[in-house]
Amino acid sequence: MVAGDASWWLTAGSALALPTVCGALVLLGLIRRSLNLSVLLWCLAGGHLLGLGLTALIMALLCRAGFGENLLLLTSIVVLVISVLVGLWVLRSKRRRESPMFDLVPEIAADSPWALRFRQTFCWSVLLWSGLILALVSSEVLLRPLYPWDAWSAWSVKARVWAELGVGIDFVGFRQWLAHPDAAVFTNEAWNYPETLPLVQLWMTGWLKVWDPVAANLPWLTGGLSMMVLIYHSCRLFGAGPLASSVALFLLTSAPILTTQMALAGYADLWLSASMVLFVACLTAWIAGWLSPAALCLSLGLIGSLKLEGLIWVLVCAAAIAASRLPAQIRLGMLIAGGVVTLIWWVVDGFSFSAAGLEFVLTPQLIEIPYLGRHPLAFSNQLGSLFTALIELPNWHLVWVFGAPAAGLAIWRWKGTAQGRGLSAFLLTGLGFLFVLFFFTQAAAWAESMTASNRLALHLVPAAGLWVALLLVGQHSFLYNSRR
Amino acid sequence: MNNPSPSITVVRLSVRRAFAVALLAFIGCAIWIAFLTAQHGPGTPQNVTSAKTVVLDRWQLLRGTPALDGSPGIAELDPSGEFFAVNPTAFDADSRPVISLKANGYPLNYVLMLAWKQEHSDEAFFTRLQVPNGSRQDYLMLRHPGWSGTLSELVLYGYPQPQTSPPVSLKTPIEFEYFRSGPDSWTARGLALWTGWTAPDPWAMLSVSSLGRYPDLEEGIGLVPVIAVMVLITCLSIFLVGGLRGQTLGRSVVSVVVVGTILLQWQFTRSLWAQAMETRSQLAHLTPAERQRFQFDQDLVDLVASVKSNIGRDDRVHIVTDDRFFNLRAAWHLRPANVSTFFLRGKAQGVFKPGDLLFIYRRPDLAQGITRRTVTFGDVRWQIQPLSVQSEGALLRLTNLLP
Repeated sequence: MVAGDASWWLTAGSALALPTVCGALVLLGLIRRSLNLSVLLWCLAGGHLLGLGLTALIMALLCRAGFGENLLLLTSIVVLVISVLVGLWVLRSKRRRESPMFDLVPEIAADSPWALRFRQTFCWSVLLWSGLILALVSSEVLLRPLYPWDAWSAWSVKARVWAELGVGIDFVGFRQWLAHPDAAVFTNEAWNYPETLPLVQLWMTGWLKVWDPVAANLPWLTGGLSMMVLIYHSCRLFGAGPLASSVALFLLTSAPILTTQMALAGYADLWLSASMVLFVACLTAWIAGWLSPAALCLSLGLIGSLKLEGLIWVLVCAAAIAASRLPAQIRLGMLIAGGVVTLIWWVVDGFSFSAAGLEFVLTPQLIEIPYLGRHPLAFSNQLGSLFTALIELPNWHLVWVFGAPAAGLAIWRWKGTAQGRGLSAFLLTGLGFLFVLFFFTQAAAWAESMTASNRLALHLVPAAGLWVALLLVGQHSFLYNSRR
Repeated sequence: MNNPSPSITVVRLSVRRAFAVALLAFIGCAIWIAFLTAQHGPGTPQNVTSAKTVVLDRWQLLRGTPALDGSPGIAELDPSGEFFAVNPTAFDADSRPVISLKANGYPLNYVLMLAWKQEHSDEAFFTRLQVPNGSRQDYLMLRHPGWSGTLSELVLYGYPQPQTSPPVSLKTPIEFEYFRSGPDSWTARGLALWTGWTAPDPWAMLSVSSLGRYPDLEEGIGLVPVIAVMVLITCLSIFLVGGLRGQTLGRSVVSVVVVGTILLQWQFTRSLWAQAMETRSQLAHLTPAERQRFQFDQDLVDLVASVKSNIGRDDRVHIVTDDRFFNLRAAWHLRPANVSTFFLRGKAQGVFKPGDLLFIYRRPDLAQGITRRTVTFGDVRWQIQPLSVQSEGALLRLTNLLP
C-alpha cells in the first residue's frame, strides 16, 4: 500500500474511525443534552481525542498482560466491544429522557437581509479558510518525510521500533542500556516518556504492516481538526450563534504556531493542547450542568498520559476544578493551608523527602521531582525573549495582545461565579507555572533561544482562550445574544 | 434589536466611519508604497552580481574567490555555504546602506545569506536575507555594525535550512533578476519595511517553536506589532470618539481585532501556500523512498541503506560522528536497529563492549585506521572487523580491546 491510494486511505481511515466512534459514544453517554448536529460533532471531536487515548491505554494493558503478538487485532476487538456496549447504553439512556431525541440548531438571524448575508458570508469564509489551511497543511503531512527533531529523538522512535520488530521491546536509560548484558533492551533520549503517543502512532501504522510515517502523522492533522471542531461547537452549545462561534474559532485557531504543529507532526504539544481544550470544554459543560464529571476525569487522564509535563497541567486543571466546584469554606481552607505551607516552606528552607522509593527535593534553591527532573532555581529575566517570541514574531497573531484584556474582561464580568473562579484559577496557576519555569529554572534557556516557549504556551492558550470565548460569546454574554 | 433607536443608529454609523477611516488609511499607505516601488526604487541601481543567472550546479565553481585586497575571501573563511554569487569589488557601504534583490526559483528550504568584508580586515560579516522569490526584497543595513567603510568583497550564498539538507537532485535554475544597492531615503526605508512584511516566511525546523526569527534583521519592525498598534489605536479611537459603551463597544472592538487578524492570517496563508506549492512540486511525483533521499542528506541515507543489511537483530550499534545533529539523524535512519542516540564526546571507549557495532560517519580521523583494522579513541585502541566501508562512513564490529 502506498500513502494516498484507496486501500491506504481505507485502512488509515478505519484506524482513525474505530477509536473515534468509541470515544464519541462514551461522550454521548455522558452528555445530558438531546442530540443535535452540534452535540454530535462535539462528541465526535472530543471522542476522537479520548478514543485514541483509550486505544493506547488498551494496547498498553494488553502488552503488560502478555498479548503483544496479536496486539492490534485484540485491541480492535476490545474497542469494538466497548463501542457496542456503550452504544447500547446510550440508546437506552437517551430513550428514557423526556427531552426530544433531536433539536434544531438555531439558524443565523439578523436585523436585515444585508446583515444576514454578511453574517452568512463571514461564517462560511471562516470555515472555508480553516479548511484551506488544513488542506495546505495536509500536503506537508502527506508528502514531506518526518523530520522534526523531537519526533526523531523522542516520540516516533518507540513507534517505529515496535512497528518493525514487535511491541515487546523495552526502552531504558543509556546507562542501563550499556550495563545490560545483551541487546534485548533499546534506548533513546526520551525512554521514560509516556507511551500514549507512540502507541497511537503504532495503532495507525501497524495496520499497514510497515512503518508508515504518513499514517503515523495523521493523528496530528485530525487532532488539530478536533480542536477546531471542539472550539466552534462548544461555543454553539453555550448558546453562541454561528457568527460569534466563527469569530471565536478564527481568533483562537489562526495562530501560526498551531498550524506548524499540525504540519510538522511528531511533537506531543499539539495533542496536549487539544486535550487541554477538551478539558475546558468538559469542565465548562459540567459547571453548566449538561455533562457528567466522568468525561472530565477522562480528559484529565488523557492530559496526564501524553507527556511528563502533562502532570503539571493536571495540577493546573485540578486547581480550576477546585476553584469552580468546591464550597466556599473548603476553598478558603485550602487557600489558608496553601499559604501556611508556603510560609513554612520558606522559613525552613524547603523540604526533602522520599516517597515510594523516589527522592523529592523542594527547596527555594532546587526543585527535584522524579521524572520531571532536577531544576536549580535562580532568577533570570526573560521578559524580552518572551515578548519577542509571543508578541513580536508571527507566532500568535494578536492572541496575546488582545487575549489578555479579553480574559480580564471575562473574569470581571463573571466574578463570583463558578465559571469566573475556575477561569481565574486556571489562568493564575497555568501562567504561574510558565513564569516559574521560564524565569527561575534552567528552562530559561528555552525562553532565551525561543525553542520551547511557544510550544509550552500552546498547551495553555487555546484552552484558556476557549474558556474566555465561552464566557464572552455564550448565551448569557453581554457581547452576543444567542441567535447570532 | 429589530427596531434600533435613532441614537443607537447614529452611534453605529460613527463606529463604521471610524473603522472605515482606519482601514482606508492602511490601504492608502499600502497603495502609496506600491506606487513608489513601481516608480522609483532605492536610488541609482548598481548591479553587483557577477552573473545574472546562476544555476545550482555551478555554485561550486564560485568557491574560494579572494577579496579585492588580496586577503582570504569569505568563501575561504566559511566554506560551509554554497556560494553562488561573489563580487570582489570596492564598494562604499556608508553611501549605499539599502540593498534590494529579486530572484526566482530560490528553494524555500535554503537560507539566503549576504556576507561582506571591509577593506584591510579579515573579519567577515553576515546577515540573513529573506527568500526573494518572485518579488523584490529590500533591506536596510544602517544598524548593522559591519556595514561601513569600503567593502572589499560582497557575497551572496546559501545553505540548507537547519535540519534540512541539500536536495542534490534539484536542478532548478535560480535566476537573479537584480541585486542592487542604493542610498538611504524615507522611501527606501518604507520599502524595506513593506517588502519585509510581505515576503513569504518559509518553514524552518525552528518554526516548530518559533516562526520567522531572523536575528540579523532586527532593524525592521515586524508586521504583528504594527497591526497590533494599529488595531489598538482604532479601538481607542472608537472608544474616545465614538462614545460607545457596553455591547456595541465590545462588538466594535472584536470586529477591529478580527480585521487585524485577517490581515495577519492573509500573510501567513500566503506563506503556507508558497510552502505547500513547493512541497507539491518537489515531492508529489516521488516515491516515499525518493522523498526521503530528497529531503535529507542523500549520502547518509544511501550509506545507511548499504550498511543496514549487516546489522543483526541482536547487535548493538554506537554512532560516532562529529555533530550531534548527524548523530541523531543517523540513529533515526538506522532504526529499527538497536542504536544509541547518545552523542559520544571525548573519550568514548568506556561504553563499548566487544561485539558492539560502530557506525562511523564523517570522521576521517577514524577512517584512516580502518585499513589497519583498528580504531583509536584517546589512549585506547580497538581491533575491528570492517563490515561495510564507504567514502563518507563505515560500519565496523569491535572485536578486541588492544593493550
